[in-house]
Amino acid sequence: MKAILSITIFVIAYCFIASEKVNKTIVAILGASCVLLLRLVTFEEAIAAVDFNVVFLLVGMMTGVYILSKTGFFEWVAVGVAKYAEGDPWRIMLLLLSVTAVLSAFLDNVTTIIMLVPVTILIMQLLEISPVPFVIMEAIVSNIGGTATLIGDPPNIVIGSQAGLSFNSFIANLGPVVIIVFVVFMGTIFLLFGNKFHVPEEIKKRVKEAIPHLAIVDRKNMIRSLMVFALIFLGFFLHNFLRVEPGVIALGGSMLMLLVCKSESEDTLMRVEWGVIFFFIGMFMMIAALEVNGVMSWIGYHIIHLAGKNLFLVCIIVLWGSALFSSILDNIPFVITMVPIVRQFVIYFAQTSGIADPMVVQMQIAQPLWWSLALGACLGGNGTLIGASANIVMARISEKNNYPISFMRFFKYGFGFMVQSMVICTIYIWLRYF
Amino acid sequence: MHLDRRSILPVVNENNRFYGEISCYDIFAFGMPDFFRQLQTISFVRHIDPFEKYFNIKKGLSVKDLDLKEGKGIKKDSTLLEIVFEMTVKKKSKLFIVEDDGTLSGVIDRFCIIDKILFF
Repeated sequence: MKAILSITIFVIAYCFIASEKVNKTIVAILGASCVLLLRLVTFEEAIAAVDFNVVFLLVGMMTGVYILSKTGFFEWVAVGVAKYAEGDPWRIMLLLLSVTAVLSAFLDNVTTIIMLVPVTILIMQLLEISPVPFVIMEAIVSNIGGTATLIGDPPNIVIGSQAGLSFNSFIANLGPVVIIVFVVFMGTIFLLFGNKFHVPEEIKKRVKEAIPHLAIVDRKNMIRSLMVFALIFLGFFLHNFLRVEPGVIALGGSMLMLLVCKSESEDTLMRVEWGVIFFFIGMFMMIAALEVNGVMSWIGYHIIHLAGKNLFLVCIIVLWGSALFSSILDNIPFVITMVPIVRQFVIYFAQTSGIADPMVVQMQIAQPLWWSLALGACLGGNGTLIGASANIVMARISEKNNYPISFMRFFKYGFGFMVQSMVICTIYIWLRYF
Repeated sequence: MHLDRRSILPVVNENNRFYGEISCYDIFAFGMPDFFRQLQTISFVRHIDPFEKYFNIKKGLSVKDLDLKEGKGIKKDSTLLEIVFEMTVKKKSKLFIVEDDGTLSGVIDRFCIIDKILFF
């Protein structure tokens, strides 16, 4: 009975979240309230299920990126890239996409898009060409870049924290495949757009003569915030050795940044997307109700039996299934839902393989499954316009500036790139882990 | 605004009832592209100064095109405390006095307070 109630509440909540007719934070918190009121999970179990490492990481990175963004750093980078490319649209595309991928890997990819898309529109307007292909590719490449690290995309933050995967293990396992996906993506971009843009020299001059250093509005704080970010990333690299959770490093680092940059703390903390934070909290509590009442182990058991108890096949189902779901649904609730199911897979395969050493279980069974989930959930977001928050934000900014991007226009590029990256990931998982 | 050097003007509807106010900033914002709001500065393109391109106000533009929000005026019997509250907390530099039927009957600005109350 409790299992059925948990499933019902979860499915209703998920439907409302997917429909986007009601604010998803409100839905998640109401869902969590229902599972608590109906005693489907105890208060202590619900609180224990909230992953504060994820919460601290999100709050810390949002705060730090906001402080950095106020200094004009992103505008400086984008204008500097355009000037270095001497106003040539193809070179600008190449360099700007590379910068977007790197920034998305180390900073939140939605914020990267919010900061870079307006400058991109300005640069393309100066060159008198449509910014639409540029901003679409920026959104796609931000999802690619964000896949490479623990902090690049919220699904990775959830997976890393729940599965106990370190910052370095993300880079070591996902970095190579993301680089391959990126290189193939850029090659495809060249085939699609290589000769499409023709801009006269006197118009390119407008960008060549831009003054990037004037984009910096607060040089001192830009340097200070970048130095604190360097410390934060050093902390991420060493967090396993220091035995400190990345969330603590991110939160502590962002508070240090508030202090050294002398930012108005109340105003800065107001900029944290508390709606997203409470959405996570609500989702964790609803999933706890499903886990405690045996729903997740039941689902995991049936998927394993459908896949014929073949680990590679289960990995591919997780990879492609996550990609397809993430392309049409918000990947954050999907990943939060999948984590306990994947945990069930790990338990089942560890038991049936007879491997007792936890390190070997982690390397040979757990990690292929977790990386499949991460790759599918993050790269799957490129499938459609609604597949990732970065895509939606990009389209909103573009539309407000009279460059509407339809679902089909994005789908034309995004779905192809998504399938392309999934094929690469399938081959990579097979070669690397099997 | 240009001839009388006024930064804010009242807006009335077809029935001469107070609707809201229009300021210079509403006009500037209309001409400016939306993505400017997300930038910290545009000084990096000062060398080209694309005023005509970006400050794009059409000659036939009317107040209706500006998508102004409806505003509330103040009543004739509003107290000095209410007036000062609107000016300081709500940051309004001008308050428009409306009759019971909604018609505009006057305006109070900061200098009315300074001249007639603080510096009499």
